[in-house]
Amino acid sequence: MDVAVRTVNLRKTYWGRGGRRVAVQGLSMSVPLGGVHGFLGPNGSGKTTTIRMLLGLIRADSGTAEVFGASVPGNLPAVIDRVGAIVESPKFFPSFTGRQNLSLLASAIGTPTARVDEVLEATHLGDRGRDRFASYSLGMKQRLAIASTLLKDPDLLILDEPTNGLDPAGIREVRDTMRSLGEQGRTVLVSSHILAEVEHVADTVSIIGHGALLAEGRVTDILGDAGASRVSVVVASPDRAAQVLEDEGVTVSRDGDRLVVTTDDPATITRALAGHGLYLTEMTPVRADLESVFLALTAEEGLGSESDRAAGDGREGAA
Amino acid sequence: MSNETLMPADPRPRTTVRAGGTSFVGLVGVELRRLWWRRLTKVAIVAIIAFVGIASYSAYQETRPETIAQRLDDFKQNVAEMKKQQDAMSAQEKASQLAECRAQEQQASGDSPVDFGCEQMFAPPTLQDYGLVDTGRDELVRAVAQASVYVLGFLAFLLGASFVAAEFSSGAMGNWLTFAPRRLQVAASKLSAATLAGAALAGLGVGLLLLTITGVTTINRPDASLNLPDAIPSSTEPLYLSLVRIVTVVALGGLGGAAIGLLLRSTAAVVGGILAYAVIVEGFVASGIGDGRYRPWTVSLNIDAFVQNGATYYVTKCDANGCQGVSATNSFTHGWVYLLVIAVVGVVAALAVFRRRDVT
Repeated sequence: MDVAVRTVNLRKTYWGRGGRRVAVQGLSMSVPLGGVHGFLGPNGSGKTTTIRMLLGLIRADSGTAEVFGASVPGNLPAVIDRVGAIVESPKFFPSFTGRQNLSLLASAIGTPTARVDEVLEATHLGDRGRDRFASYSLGMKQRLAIASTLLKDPDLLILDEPTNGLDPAGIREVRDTMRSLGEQGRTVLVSSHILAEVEHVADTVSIIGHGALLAEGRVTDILGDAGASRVSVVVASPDRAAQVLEDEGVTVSRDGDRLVVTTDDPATITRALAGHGLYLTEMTPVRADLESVFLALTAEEGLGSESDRAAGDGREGAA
Repeated sequence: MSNETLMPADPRPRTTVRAGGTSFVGLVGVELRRLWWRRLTKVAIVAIIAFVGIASYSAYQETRPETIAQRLDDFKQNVAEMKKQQDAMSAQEKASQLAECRAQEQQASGDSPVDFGCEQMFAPPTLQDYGLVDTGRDELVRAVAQASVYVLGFLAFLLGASFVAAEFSSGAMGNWLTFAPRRLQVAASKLSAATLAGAALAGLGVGLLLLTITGVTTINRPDASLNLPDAIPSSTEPLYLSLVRIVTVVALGGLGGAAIGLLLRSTAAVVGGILAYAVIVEGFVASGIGDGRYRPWTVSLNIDAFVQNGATYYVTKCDANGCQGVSATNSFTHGWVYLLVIAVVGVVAALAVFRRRDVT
């Protein structure tokens, strides 16, 4: 598998007043080339620290990291023009206008300043480009940050909580943008605490806890067989239908008036019931969502507070 | 906001993005642009214009004909008064005072001879003693510019420090490094830009001083009938050399500010550190400890030594008969070597720390 990002046994320890804190411990993960890759973990699990190490902003204690095959931070300059990133909240010079901030960044990579106006227009900041960054709302700041990543026309977009502060329309735009970029063959690595958001757009995910990898792979694989093979059925005679289906060798359980059927082949259900003159009024797949998988994995590891699990909100702190 | 994606892919070929980012010179240019856009830069320019205005007005007042005439009157009165006092003294009293002066001079002389000027004790004062001289334009410019070096230097230092520290405090440094990841190049470009900005500020200040002092000396040209003696030049070197040294020191101020800004990452911390240095080292240690013998190692005296082609300081020497202040000199060479070493150490430390530091 071609990978855009790979880490092997990555480790980072912080030393502070509270003593030593291991933010990332032996993290090995891969982000496939192309598509959207979700990067999930409870608050303080090391997501932002990992992203910072990938971008050369902080140094790993040990382990290796690669971006497009170039080891970072040593060879980061060779690939940085292919990488756009937003780390945590958007950070620009507050007294400069949005346009000035982007203009400086464009000059740093030798991009024509005409591109600045293009990305401002594209992020619907064209008419606010000459306003000071400090006067922007949080959503506008986030859009300016996205605009800055687009200056490079990146092959890899690293987005750390990109929808923070955005209104629903803005969230949808960012989600669509990620999806669109992924479909163009670019790689989007997105860390988010809004699991549904990631589930909607991600092709693959990495789930980390305590700075180590808990699970990784395609979203459908992570969700597992249970999600793929469980079907909820509504039928006029549920007791009789249950008996018929059990006779067919499938597992059936009751959920009120509904039957929850576990089978690899949902066609078995319709065929068997129709054969006995029973016709479905509703049949819907019962999918495990990413949040339940995530909570199960992190609960196994004893990670995350109840509030984190319930709301999935808040931002990762220093890590 | 619409329901479409934020941005289609850039349809142009990737060559519009320069592989590996822009060159070092390009980065310096970007940093200079950012410096120019900063409000503090505008404030510094206004401050320099205001300072030059005040200094020039002060020079104008000092050299205007009315002021000279008043001082000339004072001089004549003082001369007459002194002559009266000396006439009242007996030859024996004069000899006694002269002998006492020579004895003190001899005691104060250690390894190097000291001149108390005893022979001139009873000589009549001169016009020069009262500052009644025809100060030419060059001499006046040199004097005012040398007096301005600390103001200009501090402004450049503050500008350099806040220029770099603001990047850390706003968090923009992390963002910047995702566009320009070569840490040494990034740091060097910031240091270079701060140095150039310091030089530009100094150039502005010195240039304005040249203009305004030329105007002052033209307006206040002394009346030839007064027969004022020419001022004894404070330096034998050409004016431009003095001005180049001032520009160099102010540029180093910008460099130093940026280097310390890279190390401390906070403008408040830099200003606090400088104030602490000024009070503890320049004030307390230099003057209060060791009878002034540590003065040669202070920044201020070495700046003076470099700018003024040597600087005088005083060391208190004590013996059985008491203590006396004795003048000593910090040479020009001492000054420039000291400043060079400080600058190199500061730059190397800033680059080394920034290269390894985690940026959050």
